[in-house]
Amino acid sequence: MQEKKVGHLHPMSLIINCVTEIFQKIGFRVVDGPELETEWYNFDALNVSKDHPARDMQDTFWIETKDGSRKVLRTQTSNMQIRSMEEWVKTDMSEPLAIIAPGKVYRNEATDATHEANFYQLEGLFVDKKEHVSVGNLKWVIEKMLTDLFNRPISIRFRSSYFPFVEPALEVDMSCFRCDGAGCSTCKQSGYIELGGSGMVHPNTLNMCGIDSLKYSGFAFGFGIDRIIMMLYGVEDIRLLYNGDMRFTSQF
Amino acid sequence: MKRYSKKWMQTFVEGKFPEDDKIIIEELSKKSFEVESVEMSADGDSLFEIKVLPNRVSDAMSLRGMAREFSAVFDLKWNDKNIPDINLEDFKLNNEFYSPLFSPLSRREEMPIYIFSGVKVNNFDNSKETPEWLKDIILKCGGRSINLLVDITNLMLFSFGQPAHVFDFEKLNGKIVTRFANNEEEIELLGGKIGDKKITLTTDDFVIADEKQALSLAGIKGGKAAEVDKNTKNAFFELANFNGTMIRKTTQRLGIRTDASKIFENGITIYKTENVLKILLSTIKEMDKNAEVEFIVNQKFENKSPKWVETTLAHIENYAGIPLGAEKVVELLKKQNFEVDTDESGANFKVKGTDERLDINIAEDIAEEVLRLYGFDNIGSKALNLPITTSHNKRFLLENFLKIKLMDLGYTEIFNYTFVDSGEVKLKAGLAEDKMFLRDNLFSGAQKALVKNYNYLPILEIEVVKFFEMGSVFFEGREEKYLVIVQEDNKKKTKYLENIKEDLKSILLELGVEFKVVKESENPAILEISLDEILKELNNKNTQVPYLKIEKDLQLIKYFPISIYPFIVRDVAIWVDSNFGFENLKQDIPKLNLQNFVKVYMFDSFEKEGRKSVAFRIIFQSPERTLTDTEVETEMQKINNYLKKNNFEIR
Repeated sequence: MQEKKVGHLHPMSLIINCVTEIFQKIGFRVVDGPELETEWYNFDALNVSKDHPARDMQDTFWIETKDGSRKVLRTQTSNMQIRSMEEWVKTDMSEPLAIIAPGKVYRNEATDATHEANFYQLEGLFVDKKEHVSVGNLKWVIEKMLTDLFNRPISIRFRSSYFPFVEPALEVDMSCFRCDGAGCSTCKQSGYIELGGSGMVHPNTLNMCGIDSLKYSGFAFGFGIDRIIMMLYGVEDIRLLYNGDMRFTSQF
Repeated sequence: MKRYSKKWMQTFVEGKFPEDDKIIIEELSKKSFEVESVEMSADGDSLFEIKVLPNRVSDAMSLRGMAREFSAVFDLKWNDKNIPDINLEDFKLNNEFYSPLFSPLSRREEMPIYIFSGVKVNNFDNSKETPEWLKDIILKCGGRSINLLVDITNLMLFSFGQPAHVFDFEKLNGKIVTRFANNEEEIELLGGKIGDKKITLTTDDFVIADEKQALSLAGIKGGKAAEVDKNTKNAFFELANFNGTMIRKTTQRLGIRTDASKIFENGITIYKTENVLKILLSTIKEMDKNAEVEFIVNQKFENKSPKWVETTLAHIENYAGIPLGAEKVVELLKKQNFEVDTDESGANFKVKGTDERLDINIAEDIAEEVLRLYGFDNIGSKALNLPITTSHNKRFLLENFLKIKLMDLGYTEIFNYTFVDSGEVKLKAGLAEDKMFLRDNLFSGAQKALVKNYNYLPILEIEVVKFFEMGSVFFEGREEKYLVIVQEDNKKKTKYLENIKEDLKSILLELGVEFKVVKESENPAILEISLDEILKELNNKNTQVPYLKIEKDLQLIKYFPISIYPFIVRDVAIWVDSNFGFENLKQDIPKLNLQNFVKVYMFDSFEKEGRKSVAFRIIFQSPERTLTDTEVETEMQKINNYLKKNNFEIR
């Protein structure tokens, strides 16, 4: 029997490793934090109102705690925005805050071929003095990441949207990496692929982290990595990523 | 309301919308809302299905509101003759007919209602047919025509975004009351298409009632009591504005969602209710000129005035990252009918959104309005110039380091599920009964994965299963990252646990640290350790972990879907010359037009008495069904023929 010498990493690890390489070149470092989070980091500090539907049982996994404290499995990697801003204000803030946070998130929803109750997101955050941060910078960072990740020129377009912790809130579509916008089955003939949310950090969120929103501003983005893997490789069912099947990971 | 009629929106705007619906979809999707589809109606009207975002329900979830958005996006003149020039003071105000009951009084603090308005109309001929234009609006917005009075309330909802309700005045018992429901109070709701339905309320639900009984579930659905019919002459219209959180709780508990409840859940301004009161008064007259308005009710519980937001040109240009100029900023805001006061310098603004918008409160909201209408497409990308960094989080670096080193030693990474049937941390509500806990170890998942992957050995082209998983495990008040490593075959001959430990030791030696076992087993060979323990040691020794890059071209990886049906294995051994290379066979066999062929690989070769034997394996599998032996034999025959033709001797 010819023994295979080298093993295989999960595609999630491959993408995260590649993205880390891309971001470190433009000065963004990786941060890491808890998956089981307090209500403050997952909702309150992100300007999600007390009665926002996202906090409901059907969307969020709430944890039974002995002391009655309100804890959740994080529903987004955006908790790392708050945690890294809190760390940053302890410094002299002369260097901008530039981080990415890849990690696992959880949503209480029924699973099927395109929905999983746990999946991975890539969060990004940049905060600096107001005059050094713009929507144009956000656009550049995302385009840079995608162009290097897909190894071809990718452009993005923003669509006006709504998320409580960013203002303006922007949906991000990328030009299709398969057809470069001409229209194909991957992009459902539209030329574009929906990537995720982004925007300029809401002043309430900056203020809650102790950052003076009159002097500083920032941008943030959050994309699902599972979907990128599924599109890039034509993976037919998201559940294959989490069922311990070597027939899946051995292909990467 | 999900569909917006182009024809009826057009009546609110002086200029013409673009003919081409594709342009409408594209522009609106970028600047305002996602347009999910457009449908052509029988009369040639375009019906747009538009996903109004929660923060814009207050102004945009109506034909008039969406028409205003269209006029801003397509730079058309807004025609606001729809708010009639009516002075409410010309009508008899009779707030005594309405009684807000807060019982106990402390519940008033919950602010269940912000405004209550009503119109008492006499001598209305409700036997009249609803005009065709009104029927058309209702139908296209997803409603259905009932009778003239009810259709008027639907016009207020669909055209103007204000939910309304109408009662037969003669069926009322005394005054109109708004109150929290009594516990276990019953109400029969108008069911519409699904039929009438009796439901039981709690003290968290809010109702509109008379002095005897509940008449409607406030902000959600009308009731059977005091229902209007063709014979109704004297009626009472109700327009109000309710607390969104309260409405949402009730809709969730009862599972009843309506256009009205969606509007209230997200909120509308009280100015909207007052504007629509004027529209209602003029509509009543328009529908039946003999009808008489006896009195109106107009009771406000909150008194807010539209907000002026201060901002500067510099602030807006900072966000854009490009110069826009004051003139452009003012132009873009005025497109949406915002009021703008510019100071003498021209660089400082006071801005007031239209009185139906709830989402214009801070300077950033103004920046967003300017930028979206300016067009995010027109904002070019602008590079950041930061120095390269590698100061990543240490735990991340450790994980990355270990993963790559384990891969180099032949281990394959897998992910198992976080949700399991037992553990220290329990969910309040989970996906299923056997997924109510968060895993507190990776060991059990690894055991199961091992058993499963044994079955795939031939297709994986391996004899020994070697895999690992890294993941979070959860304990009461604590979360840790674990690593589990497995190496095993199903023959149980080798002491694989020693191999695993040797491998891990050699990897960690590079970092100058050792591992402690959390759990291990010899048979099968599984080792579980805590990464946080290793991290502690790294920190104690102040050791850095290098960032390792995976040298693999992600674009070159090809993935083939995994069939859920069983595969069939056929082994063939042949005699070959001593200089034989397997590569030719590996290339030729897939070209033999084989059905359901998956792969071929060599698994053994030896030399005996100057002759060489090569054994190879062929795997068949269908993506659609279970294959039969007979089918595979047919394919094997093709291979045997090929081997004979090329003078291979089959052993």
